[in-house]
Amino acid sequence: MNISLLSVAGYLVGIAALVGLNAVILVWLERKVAGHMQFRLGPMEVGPHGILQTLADGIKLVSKQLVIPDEADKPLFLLAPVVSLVPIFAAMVPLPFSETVQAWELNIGLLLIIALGLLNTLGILLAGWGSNNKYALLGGARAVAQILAYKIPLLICVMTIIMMTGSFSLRDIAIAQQGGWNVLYQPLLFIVYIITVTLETNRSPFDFSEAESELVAGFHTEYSGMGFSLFFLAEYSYMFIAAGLASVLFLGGWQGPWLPGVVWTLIKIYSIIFLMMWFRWTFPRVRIDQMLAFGWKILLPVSLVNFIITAGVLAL
Amino acid sequence: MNRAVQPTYTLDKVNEENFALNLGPQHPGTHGVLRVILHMDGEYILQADPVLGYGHRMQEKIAEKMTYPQVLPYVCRMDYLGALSYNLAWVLAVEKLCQFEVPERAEAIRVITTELNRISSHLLWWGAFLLDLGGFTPFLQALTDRELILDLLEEVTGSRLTYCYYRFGGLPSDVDDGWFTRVMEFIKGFRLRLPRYHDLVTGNVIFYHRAKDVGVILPFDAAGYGLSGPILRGSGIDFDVRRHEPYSGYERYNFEVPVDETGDCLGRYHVRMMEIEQSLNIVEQAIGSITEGPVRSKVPKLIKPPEGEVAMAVETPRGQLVIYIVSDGTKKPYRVKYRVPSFANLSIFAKLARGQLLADALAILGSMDMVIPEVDR
Amino acid sequence: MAMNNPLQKALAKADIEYQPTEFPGSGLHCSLVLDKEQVQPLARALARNGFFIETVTALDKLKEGTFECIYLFNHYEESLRLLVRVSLSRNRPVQPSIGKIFPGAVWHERETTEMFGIRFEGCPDSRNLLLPEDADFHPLCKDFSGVS
Repeated sequence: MNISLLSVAGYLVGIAALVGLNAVILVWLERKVAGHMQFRLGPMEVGPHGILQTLADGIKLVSKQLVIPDEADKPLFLLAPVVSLVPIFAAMVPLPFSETVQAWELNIGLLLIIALGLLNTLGILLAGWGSNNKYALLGGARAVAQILAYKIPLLICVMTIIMMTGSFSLRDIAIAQQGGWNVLYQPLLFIVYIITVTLETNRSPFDFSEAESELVAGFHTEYSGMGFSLFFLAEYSYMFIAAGLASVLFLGGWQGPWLPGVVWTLIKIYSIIFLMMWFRWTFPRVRIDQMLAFGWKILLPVSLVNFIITAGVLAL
Repeated sequence: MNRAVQPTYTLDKVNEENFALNLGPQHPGTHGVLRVILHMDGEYILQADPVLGYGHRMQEKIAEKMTYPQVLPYVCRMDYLGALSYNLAWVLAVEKLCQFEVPERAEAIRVITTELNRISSHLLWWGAFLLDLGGFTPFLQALTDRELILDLLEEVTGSRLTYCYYRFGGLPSDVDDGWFTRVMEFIKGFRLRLPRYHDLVTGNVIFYHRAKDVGVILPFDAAGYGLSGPILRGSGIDFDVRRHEPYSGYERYNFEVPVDETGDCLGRYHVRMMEIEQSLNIVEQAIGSITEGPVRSKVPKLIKPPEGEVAMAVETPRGQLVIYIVSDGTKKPYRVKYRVPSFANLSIFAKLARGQLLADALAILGSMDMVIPEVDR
Repeated sequence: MAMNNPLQKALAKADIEYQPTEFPGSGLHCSLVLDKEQVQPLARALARNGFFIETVTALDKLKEGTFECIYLFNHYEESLRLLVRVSLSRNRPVQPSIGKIFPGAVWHERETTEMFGIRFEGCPDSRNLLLPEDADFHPLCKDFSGVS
């Protein structure tokens, strides 16, 4: 593949723009979806149907004073949101939006995205420890326990798809689904993937690390203004990446009739994001030990059995 | 005696693994200004020590300085969610002391408004309990229906939350028939919407596992702590003041007292949901059997009860409220004691929270339906 | 007298005479005046017969120069409200605690201690409940005129 410095620079600028635009859209979408599911309208004042609400919120957050607690570990406290946010730009690079639109075709693109997804939790842990706040510490500790429980089923899920396709490259996986989307062959795996992805992005019903009714605000208790907004930028961007992976691994990537590939990718990504929002506004929170039990005792065996069966079917 | 230096609460075994967490006065999950000092081992609670008094207003001393009618607004502000029951308790206590008669129509309207208040309190509890467990939508759904009740009560009482509607001898003014029609319409509409509440929450498997077998209160603990209300009925003991010591005409109505044997959060949840339905039955019966007549009997302008004491018990949405008044013959009470239900119900929390996860402790607190200003008075 | 009433049974076990009062007029089924030593045996008998503690409070009789410690008990199955009053001196009032018999009484006794200054002997916990930890005044006494 021919990569020129100019095209890589162009794609990085595009990714930065995408991350920003995505956050703007998702904040507005979340509030509208929440509003309509709760018998109310959501933002309506700022701009038609509240479209400019995110802009107003952004201005407010940027203009807030950055409060750093007295005894907090200053370097860790300031580094944590950055550690959460920066890997996103790298993780978006191998994501294919259509046959031709992709920042850089990596032959281990899938592995890169999953590895970089871990850095989100590292950011949460740094925030929890660096805040010098017991609630934040509990939130950070819970996030680490969460990774250990879900990462292995996620990896087994992904390995099953790789085994079916024979390549780590996201582009190849999407192209290999031209005969039929993977969700038709692996419906159970799709369900497991959606659950693990909700766990990975700390979304309800698995949002223990920021549980508002128990831990005041969890890992971001002490953050105000820009720090808080960086964490949320990171969360929404990880939702986008996770949904992007779901669409490539299971829903055939950019394939679809009539509309161009990019539009189909975006439709699929936003449908999965809508599904995750739907979960958030319907379900109460699962308890941490119930989630760990679910991850170790149910998700792991189910994905393992699925993997073995797939291996057996492919061998025949 | 010198009590200026108080011994601090010491933990049984202190080591480096434990830490003290302040479930502080400001916390989204404590339903008011309740502070609980938790000694924790990771996520498990070793010891819970509630610290009260952040909302203490000395209501009992204030009542000694006010005349009997002047105490009415203070009483309603103790439990702002079930204000009409408190209002009823004070008014009935003084009526008992002075032996005032109350006309039947006034009694019936008192029952209707108190039961509507009970439904609105239970609706708010439902939303807040789910909010504690992390589900945000049920709260909004409950508030939508609660607004209808608040509108109905506002037409009659003039306030939305801290009602001060009843007077000694009856009610201040009559209610027109249009209001009764609107209440019946509300009941019909609410009965159709109630299955939705059960669809959203009661059948949800996440909610079931959060609430099942969490915070079991055993019946033999109940008497030692003086529990009352849905907490007690959720543990299998059938005690409802409206049955035990009927007041204001409750003996005329046919209603069941829901009791659940399990004693966990889910049991208390079911008791309250069934109580909402029973309250709807009571309101329907009261409206159906309402008679014409005066709404206030003749009482003297200056309330000067004879010397003596009286204890009046009333079933609030949280349990049994007892108002004990000692009168010395003057126009101001000599001593007023408010025995509030949440005070006794909260005293068992320290025992229940021991050994639980933090998330479970908050679920228990949510299922106990605390109103902290009531505890602090 | 017929032993069909849990209250009568409990009182008989504690060797106390049953004095019924007119219930509808006062809200009390029985009102007793006891000595401080009789309270703990009575509490044990009541606990065994299924009574629950409603409240423990006090009454300040400034003119007579005494405190009256007031207990209210009730029963879950039948409506039987019992009021017990114990007269204590205003100077260093001490009363045996029923906190070990009825665990819920501990909070009521804590509140009575801080509001009136009555010390409950044997109470497992006697810190201030509603007032600040370092408050040493007793607000509900009739001669309390504010903290200076």
